[in-house]
Amino acid sequence: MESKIIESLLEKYFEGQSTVEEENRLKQYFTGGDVAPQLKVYQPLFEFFESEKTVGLGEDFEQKLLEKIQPVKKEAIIRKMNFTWLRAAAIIVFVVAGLWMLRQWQPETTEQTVGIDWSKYEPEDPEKAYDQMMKALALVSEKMTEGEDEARKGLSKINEANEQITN
Amino acid sequence: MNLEMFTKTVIPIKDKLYRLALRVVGNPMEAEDVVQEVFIKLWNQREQADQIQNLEAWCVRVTKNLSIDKLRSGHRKMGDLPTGMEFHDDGVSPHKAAELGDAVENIRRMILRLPESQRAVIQLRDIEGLSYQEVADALDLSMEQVKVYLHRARKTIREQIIQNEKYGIENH
Repeated sequence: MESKIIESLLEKYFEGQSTVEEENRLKQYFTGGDVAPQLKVYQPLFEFFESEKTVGLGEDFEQKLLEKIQPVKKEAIIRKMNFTWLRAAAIIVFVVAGLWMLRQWQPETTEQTVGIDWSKYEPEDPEKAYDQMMKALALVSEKMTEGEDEARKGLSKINEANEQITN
Repeated sequence: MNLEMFTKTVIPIKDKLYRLALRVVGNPMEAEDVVQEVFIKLWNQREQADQIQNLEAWCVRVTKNLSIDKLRSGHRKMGDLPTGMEFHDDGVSPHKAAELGDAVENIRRMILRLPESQRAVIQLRDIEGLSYQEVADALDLSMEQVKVYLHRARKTIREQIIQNEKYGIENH
């Protein structure tokens, strides 16, 4: 009975009138194994359709394709990296140049300042240090008083001149 | 379209495109080149890819066109008979061919002899199982043309099957 249905479906198929569902039914029938003798002649056709579905590209196709597509991206990254390196190199050059200039300049000042070793003048005994400090302050005070006297002398002279003008 | 979308939505149809290209050009290396060209073409136009309504149909159409271009540039005539040398050169290993038997190989030969448009229609309808509308969209044909090509192709195949059968019987 089934073979009759299949025969009519085949007619529709060869007339170009069958639907996708009907064609799927034909494929199922002819690849299922139990084919009526008078229909066996059409079996290879549907076996061919089914076997063709398994044909495909190699596994490396996608990899090869992506490699062809992505070089643009890689180039961009390289270009970006170059700029970063350029910036880094510029900073290094500035730092090195700065350090070199500083070194060129420092010896004169350091020789002068470092040349005097103040530590040997530093008193170790606190009492001695106190005496020295008092002496230093007394000296400052004495000089300040001298200065004050001088200033007073100057002021009295101004006053004298003032009095002469007003009189 | 970004790379992720491209990998997820476009690359998965590679085998379908390859089979169509193979059906038209008849050579696995050339068919692979065609599919690669199609994908690169789409990738280069990815900014405009969002405007393509049906990406798969677009890919199928470009595959068919590039395959025909390749076929014509290769000094081969349309519908040329494959020689014995080329016979196993369409993606099927000799081992698999032996497994499927000579009868299936005969069908392959018959289909290879069909004009390229009929071959493309058979490929999309009978092998990939597309609807008439989908075949029409993919090949830039009207539904009527699809039906006509399909009818002609199947008619030729049937005649040859019957002829082969007769020839076989006469030889017994």
